[in-house]
Amino acid sequence: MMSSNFLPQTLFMVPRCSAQCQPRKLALSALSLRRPGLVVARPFGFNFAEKDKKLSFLVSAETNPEAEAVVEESQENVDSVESEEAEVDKPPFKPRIKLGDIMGILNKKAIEASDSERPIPDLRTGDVVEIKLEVPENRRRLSIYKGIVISKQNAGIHTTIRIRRIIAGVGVEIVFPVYSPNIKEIKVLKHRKVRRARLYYLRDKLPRLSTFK
Amino acid sequence: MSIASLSATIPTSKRFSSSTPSSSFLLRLPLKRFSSLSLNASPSKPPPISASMEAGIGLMATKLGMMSYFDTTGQVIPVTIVGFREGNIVTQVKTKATDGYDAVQVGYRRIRDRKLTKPELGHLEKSGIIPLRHLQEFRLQSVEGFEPNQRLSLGELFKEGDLVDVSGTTIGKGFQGGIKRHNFKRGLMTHGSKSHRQLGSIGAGTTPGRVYPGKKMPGRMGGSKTKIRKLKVVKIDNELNVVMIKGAVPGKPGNLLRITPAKIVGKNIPQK
Repeated sequence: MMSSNFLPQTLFMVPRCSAQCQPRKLALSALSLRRPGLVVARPFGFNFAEKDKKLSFLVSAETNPEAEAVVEESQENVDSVESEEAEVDKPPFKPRIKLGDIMGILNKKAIEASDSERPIPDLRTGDVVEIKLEVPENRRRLSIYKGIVISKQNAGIHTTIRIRRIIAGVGVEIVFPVYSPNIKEIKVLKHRKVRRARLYYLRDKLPRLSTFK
Repeated sequence: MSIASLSATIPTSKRFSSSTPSSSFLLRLPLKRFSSLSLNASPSKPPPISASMEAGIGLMATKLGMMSYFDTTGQVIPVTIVGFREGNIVTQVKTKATDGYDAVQVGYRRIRDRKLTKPELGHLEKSGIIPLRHLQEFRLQSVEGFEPNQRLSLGELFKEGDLVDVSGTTIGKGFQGGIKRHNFKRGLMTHGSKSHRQLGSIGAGTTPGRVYPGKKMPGRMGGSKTKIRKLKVVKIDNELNVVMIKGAVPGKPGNLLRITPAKIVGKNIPQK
């Protein structure tokens, strides 16, 4: 795909008149038709020779919209040849990571790492779940907690769910970090239809609504 | 780098005498991991160490945010994510001969050269360095092994499990009263009390007949430099060039931080 070789930034360089123009497929042709003088992005290690060739192609596409299809084909051929040369010479271009994205990237990586070891099912408020927890002190057996999910707080790696259950006549709510390495298994047993994201009203209701055998 | 190696490993050649009656605040802290060092004072008198000296070369960084980190036992550790912009380049090395004290000046955060004044640009161009926004000095005991235009790397200076001191500008709170600013206690809210959040008495009577200077009163709070000591480095991520530090650090995300190896009694004791 030719867009993979192009500057990643250009895919996000939305032309100024984008609101009025009809949005076409997000490809080179869309940019070439709208913006005759394409904004040159700030260079950081990008291969300038490649870019100039593409700019010249853009100008020709602008003047001759009917022959756009022909131009695109030729561009693809040129790009494939260029890409082979580039990969032979050096590793593929990695865009510089912005400092503002690092928090999101770290959270995502941590969640992916946790998911690869132990996949977490899709949890929603109102699910009746059973959680197997390993307590570091007594490593021999796993503690089992059952109950209804009354709230789910999304916070990246520290996403937590609140489980409510009546244990020995006493209502008990426990908060579990979903991606903790101590949680060995989460199994969704049932789902109760609820019309709310947080079921705090169960605290005032009859105990039998929070009882799970 | 000799300095980096000294600060990164437990120093075995540091000399300190056990009989210092100095009243410096550092001595009141208990000896931590260096209690196994021998207490024999070295024959030569060690150079005087001032309180403004660092235990080792540090880095400047940017606070990115906070998140939770699950360690191997499953404990949740609140960590601050600290990132590094392009910078941490030695801009100038000051020696006792030229400037009267030993220090390493480090620059941080590359910017457009149009944003710096000509004197600032000239200072950096003298050593052929890119334009940098912030310059800070790290005053060290010995400045061996540092040259201008030397890049300081995170992996050489800090390892996981190190203790660091982080200093930065705190969040500004504006003009605040005694309760928030100095942890004063409120007055009664009921029972006929007319004073709830006021200062109360600010002095004695006819003697001394004045208010002491330095009396804690309302004023501007925050927006000043503080140092948080002995924070543990939980993890270092080399691809993202990021450090995870346990606990909180001053400022909001985007704040400039100064990270130095922690000054612990075992490593340097000021001589008086």
